[in-house]
Amino acid sequence: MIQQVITQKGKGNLVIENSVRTKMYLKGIAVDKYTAASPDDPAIILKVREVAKEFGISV
Amino acid sequence: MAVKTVLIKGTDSQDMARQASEALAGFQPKLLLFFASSIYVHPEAALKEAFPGAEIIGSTSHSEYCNSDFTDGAVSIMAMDSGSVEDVCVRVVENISSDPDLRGVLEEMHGFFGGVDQVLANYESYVGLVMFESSAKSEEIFMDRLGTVTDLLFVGGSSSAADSGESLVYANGKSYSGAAVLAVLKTVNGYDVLKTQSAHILSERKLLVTKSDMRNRILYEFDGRPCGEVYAEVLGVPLEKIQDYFVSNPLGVVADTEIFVRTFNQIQDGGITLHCGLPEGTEINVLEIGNIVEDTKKALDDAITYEPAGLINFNCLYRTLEMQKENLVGPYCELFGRYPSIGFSTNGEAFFGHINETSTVLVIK
Repeated sequence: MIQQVITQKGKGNLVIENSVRTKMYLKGIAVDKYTAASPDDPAIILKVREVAKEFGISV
Repeated sequence: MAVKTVLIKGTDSQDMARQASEALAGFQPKLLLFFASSIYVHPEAALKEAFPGAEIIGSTSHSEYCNSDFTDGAVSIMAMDSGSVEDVCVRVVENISSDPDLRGVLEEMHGFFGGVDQVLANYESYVGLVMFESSAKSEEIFMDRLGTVTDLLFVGGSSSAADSGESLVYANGKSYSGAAVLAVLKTVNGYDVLKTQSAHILSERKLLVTKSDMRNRILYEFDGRPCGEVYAEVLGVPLEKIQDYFVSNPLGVVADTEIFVRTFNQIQDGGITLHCGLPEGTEINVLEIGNIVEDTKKALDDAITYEPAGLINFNCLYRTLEMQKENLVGPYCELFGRYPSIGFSTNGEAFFGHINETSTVLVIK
């Protein structure tokens, strides 16, 4: 889900994708801590959904 | 010449502006950026009168850098003509502590250059400058909102003031308190941004912020325990001694390879106040401060492998004070004397978010 936000927001621009990653860290989402195999954490899922909404994208 | 820098000490703002006008005679600045000691009264109005055709933005300062010089009681000016900045759009957001919606402002700024698609298609040409009036203490929330409504990169810093002065930011002949000045520059030859904090990871142990008051910049808990207790544990020092380590061992959010420093203020209300709020859920590391001059030299040399038009250095006041204590101001200024450059001692720096104890540098190519 985190990667979806980064990819959708970056729209193929690698510089913007990296900046979205950084912004997510600063919003309190430790991007590198989670992979597709990570167990679902409801608090983090909620936070990522909120960030996605702020960015105007749906995940 | 696309960029000129001057450092002026005037008897008053009018004398300062007159000297600036003489020093820049024949030069037609598109944008004039200045950092003025807060001893000057309405320097923005005097400069606007002297340079009516230029966009003029600035901030008060505790102390000023210009090329290889460091001083206080002065005004450091960078004038950029159409050889370096093709166009610039300036906006002021007032009352930033009220958490203003920035969408409209950024739509205007994107629109000034033909719309957001045009700007992002030429990402390497456009860069934002942001200067905060620091008494609002709202920079981290503002930067978060700014980063949400634009993909443009904004760098800058927060105003400081001389001992008896008032902190202000300036735009086009007016002064503002509790405000942010935003400027989007369309550069002619592009830009680079570098950030150096001379802070390194002391402990690989990640601490999770489990309780904090982001808006009031108070940190309460790491990993469900009192933050001071955990901080003392990482450093291996007694809890009652932790304040002795606040300057030398700040905290850092580590985003991939970038460190975003958060410095301590004081123990208060069962927590520790910081100079930048931390949202719950953030993972941080405890840092140690290194050699500012060596780290800055490496950062500059690695990033600037060409002859730049000019550098704008937003250097944390903590770093200035530390360098003064260690007699490192001279060697530090020699590094910046290699380029046309200006800077000032900031009350916080801006790069994606609000940061502390860092130097953020905008390089105009």
